[in-house]
This record gives sequence, C-alpha cells and structure tokens, in this order.
Amino acid sequence: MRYIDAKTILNFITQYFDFIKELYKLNKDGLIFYDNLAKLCNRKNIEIKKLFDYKIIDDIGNESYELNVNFDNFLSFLIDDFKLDLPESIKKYKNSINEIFAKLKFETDKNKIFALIDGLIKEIRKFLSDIHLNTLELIRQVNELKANINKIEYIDKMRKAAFLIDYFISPLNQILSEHHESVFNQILEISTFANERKLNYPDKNIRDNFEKLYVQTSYTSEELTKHSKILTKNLLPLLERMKTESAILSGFIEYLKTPYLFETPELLKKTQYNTYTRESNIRADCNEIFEQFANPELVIVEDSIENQSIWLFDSQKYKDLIKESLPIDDYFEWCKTILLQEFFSLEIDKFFALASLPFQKEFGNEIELSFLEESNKNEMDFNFISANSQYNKVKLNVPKISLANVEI
Amino acid sequence: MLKFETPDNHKAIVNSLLKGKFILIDKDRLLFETIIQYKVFYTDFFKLTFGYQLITRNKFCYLISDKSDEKLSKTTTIFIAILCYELDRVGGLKSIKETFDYTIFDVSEVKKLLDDSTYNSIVYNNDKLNNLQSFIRELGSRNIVERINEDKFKFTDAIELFFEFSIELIKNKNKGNN
Repeated sequence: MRYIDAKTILNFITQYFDFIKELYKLNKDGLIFYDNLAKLCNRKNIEIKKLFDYKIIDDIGNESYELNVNFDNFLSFLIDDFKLDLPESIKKYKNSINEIFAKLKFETDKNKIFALIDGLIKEIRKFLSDIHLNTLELIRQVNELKANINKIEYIDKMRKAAFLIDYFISPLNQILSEHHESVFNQILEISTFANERKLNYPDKNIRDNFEKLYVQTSYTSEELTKHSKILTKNLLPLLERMKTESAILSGFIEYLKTPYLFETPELLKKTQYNTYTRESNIRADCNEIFEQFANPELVIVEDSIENQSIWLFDSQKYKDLIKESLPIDDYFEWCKTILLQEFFSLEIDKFFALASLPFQKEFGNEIELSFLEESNKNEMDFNFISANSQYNKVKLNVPKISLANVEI
Repeated sequence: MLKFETPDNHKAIVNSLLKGKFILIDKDRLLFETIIQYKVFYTDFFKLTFGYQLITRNKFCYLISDKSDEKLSKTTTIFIAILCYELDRVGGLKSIKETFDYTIFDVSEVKKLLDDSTYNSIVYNNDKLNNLQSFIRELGSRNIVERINEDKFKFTDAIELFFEFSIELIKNKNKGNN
C-alpha cells in the first residue's frame, strides 16, 4: 500500500467537502452501490480509486461499498450528525471496563500495570464520549420534538416521545444511575481504588499513573452525574408531558367519533333545596333562572286612564259593611277579600281608601282597633297605574290589625 | 340534645356545591381549604343529607350524585374536545395544558372555530352549543370557565377533569387493542 500523507487526505476532504457530504448521506441511507458511487464521482469529476487510496471507503463485495468506520465517525463529529446508539452498545463498556479493572487489581508487573491503566483510561473516555454524544443527540431530538419543527401530528409526536423514553432515555438512565451494577457505580469503585493506590503504591511512576486514572474517573463520575440529571430532570419529564398531552388529544379525537356513546365526567344535576332559608337558596336560584331570561322591556298598557270608569269611594257603604262584619280579626286581609270580591284586581288606591276608614276620627270612635304583634305581617301584591300610564305592581308588607265593637 | 356545629363558611360551601359549582383553590381558597380541613365532616354531611358524593382533588372539589347532568357534561366534553382538536389543527396549540391554562378566549372567535370545525355537524345538532353565549354563562355558573366579561372567558382548573376523561378513554382503547 502506498503511504499517503495525512495532509493530502485532509486537503482532499477540504476541496471536495460537498462531495464527501453526499457520500456520507448515501452511506447513511444504507450501502453505497457501485452505480450510485460512479454517478456521484463522475458528476464531481473524482476518481473512485482515490477514495480507496485515502481509505475513505471500504469494498465489502458485490459491488457494494461503505464509508470507513473511523472516517464515518470523524464526519459525523465534523458535521454534528450523530445517530443514537442503542443502550446495548453502551452497556458493552461495562464488561470491557470490568475485565481490565479485575486484572489491574491483582497485577504486580510494572509494565502490565501501565498498559492496564492506559487501557482503562482509554475505555472510560470512550464510554464518556459515547454518553456525551448520546445525551446531546437526545437533547436535540427532544427539543425538535417539543418545537415540532417537522410539523408532525400529535399522534406521531406521542409515538416518538414514547420511543425515545423506552428505547434510549430509560435504559441510558439505568446505566448512569447509582445502583450497584451500573457503569457509574463501577467508575466510582475504580476511582476509590485509584485514589488508594496513588497514595500507597511503592513505585512512584505507578503512583503517577494511578493519579491519572483517579483524575479521569473523578471527572467521569462528575460528568455522568450531570448527564443523569439532564436525563431525569429535563428530558424525561418533558417527554412524559408530551406523552400525556398527546394522550389528551388522541382521547378527544376518539371521543368525537361517537360523542354520545361515552359516559362523560359526572356533573351534579342541580336540584332546588331549601337547605337554609328562603333567602339563601330559593331566591338565589330564582334570580339565576330569571337572569337567564331577563330581557328588560318596559310594559306599556295601551288603555288610557280616560277610558276607565272613575271610581267614587262610597265611605258610608263600607262603614256599614265593617260594622256588620265585626269582629274582624285581620282587618287589612278583610279589605283585600272585600275588594277582590267587588273588583277584578287589588288596586292600591281602593285599598288605601278602605283601609283608612277605622283611622278616621269619627268612625274610629265607634270601633275598637288593636294592632297585633309587629312580626305578624301579610305580604300583598297591589296593582297601580302610575302618572305616565304605566301599569305597575308593588308588594307591600301589611301589618295585622283587628277590629271589634266598642265595649260600653 | 344534639348540637349541630359547622365550620366557618359552611353556608357558602353548601350553597356553592349544591348549585353544581366547582370550588376552586385559585378562586375560592378559603372555601376550598375549609373543605379539605373538614373533609370527613363534609363527605358525611353531603352523603347523609343529600346522598351526594364529595370529590376532592388537588385544585378543586365538587359534588356528584346518581343523577348526573348528562347533557351539560356531554356538551362540555364535546366543546373542549373540538376546541382542542381545532386549536391543534390550526397550529396554535403548542401545549394543550398551557393553552387552556393561560388563553383568554373570545366567544365570537370560538364560535367561528366551532362553525368551521371538521366536527361542525356535532355542533349544529347540539342546542346548547348553538347558543354559545348562554352555554358559556352556564359553564361560568359552574366555575368550569371564568368569565372575564360578556365576550371573554378562560378555563379554570376544573378542565383537568375532562383531560383525565380523555386520557382514560385512550388508555382503555389501547388496552382493548392489545
């Protein structure tokens, strides 16, 4: 194989970066087939051979190619395009780290200890880098989902949120959480071991190497805690909320298909109860009922006063009637009855004329008048015609008085 | 002789709940806190006096009975469901809960949304929704919405009940499918 200077390869990448990006995209969509590769190279006037010389692509047979793994990783890093790793591929670090650590604990050979510490640091860094990239990618995907950049429907949004939680965030969180089998816990164990060795190991060079391991593991555990917090405090609640919200919309859409078939939340059917007093309930309910139908309008009776027959109060007639009816227990109630027998409705002017008779000086001397208790009042509805010919009603609380013959 | 004692605000609590109102922590904190403090008393009081069940939640409480006001409940659910769907469809709904928590709705705009809705046939066949102004007044009298003025309103925390209904419905459907 011909040796090619790294600078030459980098120059090639710089010069044909658009081509490289297209190649990267082809590879991302699956295998690169010869026809597609040839077309792309012809269009950009690039020799396919150069791609092999620069170790950019690998021939995997059957006229199919793929980007070299290292080159693929380098490009995804350069253009900030990262695919989420399945948690299983991150879990593998647990075994590799564990295996190296187990050997390191009992190794006494100086060179082997150096090699094992280097190997352990390398593996921990790779692990941390993967966690870092995955968390960044999850943040990107969750934010994209939150802003709904791709304008996907709620149902799909819910599915995507559930997928991210179930396949990536929860398993990743398992790896990072503080249970005894987690990688995080393993890193802490190595850190404690390295701390002890960096102080007590007899050989200074080895002590220095353990110091490096201790610094690396301390940094890693701090970083892992940060990532775990991002997952549990930010991403997980956000996605859970999206799941809930999507469920609300999905539920409503389902409901609207047959809205009258489902039993909806129970709401109390209003019933009129006289729990306390008339004032507290019935009046309030009446107000509510009337407010709904309230349509304030002035009622004007067309008949003019002129058309009505003028009533002349025959006081003697009523005085005689009172005397005949004595004793009268509730005089005003009696007036009401008499007037209603004679006229169509209870009119206030007729009522006052009749009601005032026992209070006249002369007639008052002929009868005994006594007031009953203040609390005994009758509520009466009266009609009257006001000065502008409007027909009105008025409610009055009328006291109770009794009339009797004067005792001689 | 039995002595009947009640907590403060008893009359206001009973009157509100019997009118089918939701007592809200935001709006009637004093009443709400009294109910929570005397939860056992009020649970028994409504059960033994009226046969009603007192439901207390984090942000509101209300009464239910054997006889539910089905018409109001169904119309309210339809109303919220259509509103939710349409707001999402026109792209204004970034977060359902936040939208319903903070938006002040205008009756005429909501009416237009319902009239133009994919589900407008349901609206046309519902007499309560046909008179939206009056329906909003009714929701206001139950504390399901808070009326800012004659034309504007916002939803209260009582809407949570309808969201829960929807989540439950889709959960049950998914269970059935599995």
